Amino acid sequence: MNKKITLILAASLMALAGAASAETAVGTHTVYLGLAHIDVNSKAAPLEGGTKQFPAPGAQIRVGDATTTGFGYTYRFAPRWSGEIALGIPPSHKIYGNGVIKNAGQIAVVRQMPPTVFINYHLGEYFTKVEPFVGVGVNYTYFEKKRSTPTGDAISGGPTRITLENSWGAAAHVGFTVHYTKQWSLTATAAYADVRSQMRSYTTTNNGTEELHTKINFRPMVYTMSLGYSF
Amino acid sequence: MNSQFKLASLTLAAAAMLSACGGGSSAASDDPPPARGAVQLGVVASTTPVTKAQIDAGTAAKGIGALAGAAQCDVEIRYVYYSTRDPQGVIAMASTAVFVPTGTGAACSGNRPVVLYAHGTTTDQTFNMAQVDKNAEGSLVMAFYAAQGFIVVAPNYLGYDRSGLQYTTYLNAEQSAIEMVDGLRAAKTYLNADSAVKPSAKLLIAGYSQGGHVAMATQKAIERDYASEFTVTAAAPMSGPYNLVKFGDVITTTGPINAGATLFLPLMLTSYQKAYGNIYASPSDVYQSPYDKTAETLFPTKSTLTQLIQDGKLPNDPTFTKLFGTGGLLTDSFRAGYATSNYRKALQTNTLLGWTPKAPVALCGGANDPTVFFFNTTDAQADFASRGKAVPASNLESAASMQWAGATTAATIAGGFAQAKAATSAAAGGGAAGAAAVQGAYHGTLVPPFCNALARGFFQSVLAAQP
Repeated sequence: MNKKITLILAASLMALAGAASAETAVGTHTVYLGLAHIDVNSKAAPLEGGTKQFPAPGAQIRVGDATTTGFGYTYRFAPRWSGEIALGIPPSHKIYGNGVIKNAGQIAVVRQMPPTVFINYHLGEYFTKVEPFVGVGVNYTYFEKKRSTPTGDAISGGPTRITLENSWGAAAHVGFTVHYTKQWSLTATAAYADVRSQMRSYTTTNNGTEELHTKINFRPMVYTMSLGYSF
Repeated sequence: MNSQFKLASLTLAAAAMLSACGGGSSAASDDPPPARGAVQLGVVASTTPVTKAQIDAGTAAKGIGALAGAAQCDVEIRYVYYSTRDPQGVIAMASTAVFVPTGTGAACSGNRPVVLYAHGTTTDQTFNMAQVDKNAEGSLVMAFYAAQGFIVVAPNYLGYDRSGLQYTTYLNAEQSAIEMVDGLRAAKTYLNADSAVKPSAKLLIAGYSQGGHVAMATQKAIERDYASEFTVTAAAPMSGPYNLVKFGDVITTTGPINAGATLFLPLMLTSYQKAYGNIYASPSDVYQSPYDKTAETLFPTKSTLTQLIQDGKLPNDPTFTKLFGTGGLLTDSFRAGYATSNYRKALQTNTLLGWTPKAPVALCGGANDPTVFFFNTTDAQADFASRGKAVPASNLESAASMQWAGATTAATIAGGFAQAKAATSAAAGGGAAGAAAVQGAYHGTLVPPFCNALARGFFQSVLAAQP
């Protein structure tokens, strides 16, 4: 992982070395492809519900980080303004036990699709080739796959099905674009999205179905680095 | 090639590599589950230790104060939730009670020997040895062992308490040993990290009824597979069905049928069906209607046995012996095909004869046990003796069989047992009703304190001989 980020950084330095001043004209389309690292700082109340109590109250969960391939499209509709749709290959996040079930390790996995649209304001070129921008937008997170691991089943008390509500929320990012040529550019961003979801687990036992639930605030910071092609 | 294409290909290559190893959602990319015997959670279950006075009051109320002896130590009750494996090798969670002697007495501090105790059969899903206020077996071993300076590790088998398994691994010798070993590992890890009183390297294994079978299976497995991790100091299996295949032959063919058979058979059939998958194609192959609808998933249960009989899920028979015939639990075809059945093969697999214990063993039971027939004990003794391992087999009905413990002890135990039977009979009015009361109490109530008293004396003598 670190090696690959180093690789990208090296690539971006190469880009800087050869960069030339390049204004982005109104009407420019840019497609980009790169990496997105999703640093999740989840907060979730202890699991509630069900008839079984854990040895002590306080079974919690924690959502793990993920790295994926990000891609998207930007359209410059005014000299300082662009619209952007950010997509990616759906990343899988491991969900870990926390609180009294911390030692269980991974108890579930979820795969999510987090398409986000932004309106970006470009601050103009600094150092003749670096163009910072800020953007605000809307994120929709669709939880596509949800699976309890064998450890999750064991600690839940039987085969367990998980549901997560899809989430709508505000998003914002800051970043900068290094214009390499009129066509090629490198963009780095740091984004935050408001992603909250009610998670429910349904465990099948001989005594019926046990339902547990908690509200997860994912609080994800997303760091991206992408290569763009403009036309 | 232009440098921008180099740049593009570098970024693309990096992106492709990362998404390839960036974690999928398939089972193959799951983290490995926690190791066997890993502590999931350890807690002190009692806010204050159970005091010596409380323990003495408890044994006195049951009329076993003299057998238990005055408590030497207060007992701190701990509870450990740990990871183990089910018969398929899949992670499962189980819990164990841990009773730790505490206090100022010489026997109550420092490094204490560990009694790994295997509990008897129960149908109660909420069964938890740590709940000494309502678990009679838990309170018994707390008084007999922990209050006398032994650390007691008493795992609840898979399927009970907070375990997630939907059935219990009943009389599955190798599997039961795995659960016991993992419970022991977890308890020792937890105590070494968290308790002032630590476990010593001395390991004593005891168990009663089903637990007698489990205790023997655990000694066998530890001496064979875990010798680098644990050394068994001594073992005292009590009233266990060691000769399972002969036991099955008697019950299924010649009779008599043992008391409790209509509970034991569903426990065993489901356990073996889950472990080996070949006991039946459909529950109706072995269970009569209507029991074939529910028997497979009946136990462990939160319902009382009275309720299950009322609900028509068990034959209406308070002695739980109505295995065959009209209104019985099992089909005639199961009985007719028994001799060549996979069920009998499973019993053979789990029969604990044909191995030789390394550590000293003392067996114990009562010759008139209507639940686990005493031939199990004498057959194990004879089998070990056939390979030169002399093992006492105490029969509470016979002072002569207990001479190994000393003439005084033998006379005291035999006399005390006879008195206890007489008291049970008298309380029921004597005569036939009294005899029935003795039969009803024999395996579950009358024998355990006497055999545990012998077992503890045996452990103390072995420890004294190898300090």
